[in-house]
Amino acid sequence: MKKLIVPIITACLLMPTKASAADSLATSITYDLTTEAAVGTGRHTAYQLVTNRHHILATRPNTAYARAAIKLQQPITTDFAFSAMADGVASVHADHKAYLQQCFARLDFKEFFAEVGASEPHPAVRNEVLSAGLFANGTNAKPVPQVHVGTREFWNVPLTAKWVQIHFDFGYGKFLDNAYREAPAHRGGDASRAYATGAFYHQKHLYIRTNPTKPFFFTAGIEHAVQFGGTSHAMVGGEMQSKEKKANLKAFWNVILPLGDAHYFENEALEDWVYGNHVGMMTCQFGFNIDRHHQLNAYLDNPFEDGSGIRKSNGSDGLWGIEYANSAPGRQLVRGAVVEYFQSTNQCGPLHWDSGDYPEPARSEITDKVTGNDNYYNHMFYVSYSHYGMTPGIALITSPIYNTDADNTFHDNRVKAWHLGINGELTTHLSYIIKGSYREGWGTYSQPLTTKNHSFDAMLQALYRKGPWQLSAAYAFDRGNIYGNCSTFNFKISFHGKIL
Amino acid sequence: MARFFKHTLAICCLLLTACQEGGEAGDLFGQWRLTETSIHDSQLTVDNTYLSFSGSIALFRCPGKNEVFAKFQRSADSLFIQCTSIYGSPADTAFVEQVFHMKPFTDIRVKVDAIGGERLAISQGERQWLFRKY
Repeated sequence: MKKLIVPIITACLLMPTKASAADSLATSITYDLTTEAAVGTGRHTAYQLVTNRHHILATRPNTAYARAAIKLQQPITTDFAFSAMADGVASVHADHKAYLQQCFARLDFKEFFAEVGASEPHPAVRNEVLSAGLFANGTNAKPVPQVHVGTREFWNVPLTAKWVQIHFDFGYGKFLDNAYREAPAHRGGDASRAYATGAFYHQKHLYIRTNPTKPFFFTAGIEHAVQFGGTSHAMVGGEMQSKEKKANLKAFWNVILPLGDAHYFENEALEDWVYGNHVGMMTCQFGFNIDRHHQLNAYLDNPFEDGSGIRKSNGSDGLWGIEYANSAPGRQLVRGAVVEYFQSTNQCGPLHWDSGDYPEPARSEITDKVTGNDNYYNHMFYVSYSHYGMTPGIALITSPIYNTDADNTFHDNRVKAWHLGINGELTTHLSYIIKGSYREGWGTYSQPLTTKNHSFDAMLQALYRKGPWQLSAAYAFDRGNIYGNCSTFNFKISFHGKIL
Repeated sequence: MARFFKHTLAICCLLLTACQEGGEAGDLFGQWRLTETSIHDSQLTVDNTYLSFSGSIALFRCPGKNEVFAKFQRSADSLFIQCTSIYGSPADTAFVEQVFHMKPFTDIRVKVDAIGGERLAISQGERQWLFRKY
């Protein structure tokens, strides 16, 4: 492999001087310039404007950013292509001031890719614009840099006559928000609260689908994300002590499946009954092609945390949805629509009892075992499944960045919510998006809310595209006691240009 | 093909409803918030105290203050609860007997007067407890 690197790089460098505009192996360098502002009243920028946008827009009210991205695409052969991108953001009155949102290098071979760096992920299933999101590997948080391989789209498995397609991704990375987690400001202003730094990241997904061009088709799959390794810092006996978890080859292997340490209690490592913080979902989706251009999908994304939930032992928890998709050419008043119900209240039950967790005589007095209180997205070692305060999963579980006490844990992960989304084109250049969610929250099992949370969050957005320009204007609001009463006007201008 | 998908959908629905962890607790399963306890027409409204059931395990909880695990058995409308103090703390006994007013700590016997939807009513002699699913 090392012997190939130099020739490939040399070929990449030489290619631009030899390519012409008509050559299929021509170098392409494009850029995107964007500026966006959100102004209004209330404690936050309205929820629907921030959610599932890779945390590009700040949660703080009255914020703006300027963004510049440059992308290189270099075909090497008809099957191989190299691409790279650098995408920087500068913000005002924002959660982050200046940073690289994306920076990656990627090699494509036919339907497959290998990539190094941080890139904004796009869901293999679920409508990226309209859906409430994915439980494990969503689009709500800043990208986590990683090394990963996968398929670009669904890939026809050979020798199945196009009856079986798969979509997969597999990678390892590292969370970068150590300073964010360590800052007392993100521990409720209390320097004695526990936090974790240096966590590694593993993610994968596998979707298997039958032929989607047939009248009926079926998709099943699994997504899995893990925090592992790293160091936990917690008060023990009045003193902040650090406890490190190894991230050696054995750890990288162990996190592929939610395996654990059978001797965790003897090793004083309660968190190792399953090694790492595992979150994931299993998907079951039925598709119906009404005709060549119109499709209906019904799906269930079942969440799991560690091993719980994999057996569907969490009642009705999950994202239940119906999606309508319209791929007809030309102007379509309704291009897509989703109706979704999300529930995370069951969590495999209100309590967890494993006698091995406790000393005698309790261990012998209650010998039955009940695994529950999954406490979605929180973890005793890694504190929370979050990146810079935002959940990489489904945003209907309120991210820690919104906590009024600025604590970095999820305070309200028992949620029931309805979500609607619809988009379409009004004219050739003008399109719209309407989204709305209503949710109720009960806190967590360990810390129930004394008063139930509720919020209604909606957005109306118009987008105008002409040539390289895109302009959008939106109004969004929140009403309730989760984000408070917020009203936000949003404006965005983008320009897509080409250097080569 | 349509029949295949109908059968698959039916099987999925069965599987989805079949496997609740701790479902052996029956209609007691879940977390119940104590809203009121009364004795001899004297009512006491309580706040932020919970009794949870899953499998054969119960949990008395006042968030941030106290948690006491217990075994329980149910026979018709009779409910038997045996609490365990993990570290042998008198505070655990006081929590169950004085905050919940359920006694004795290791052998609580109560009657389930009504359970349905979001409401649970239990009694022990003259004392009654009302819970709401939370």
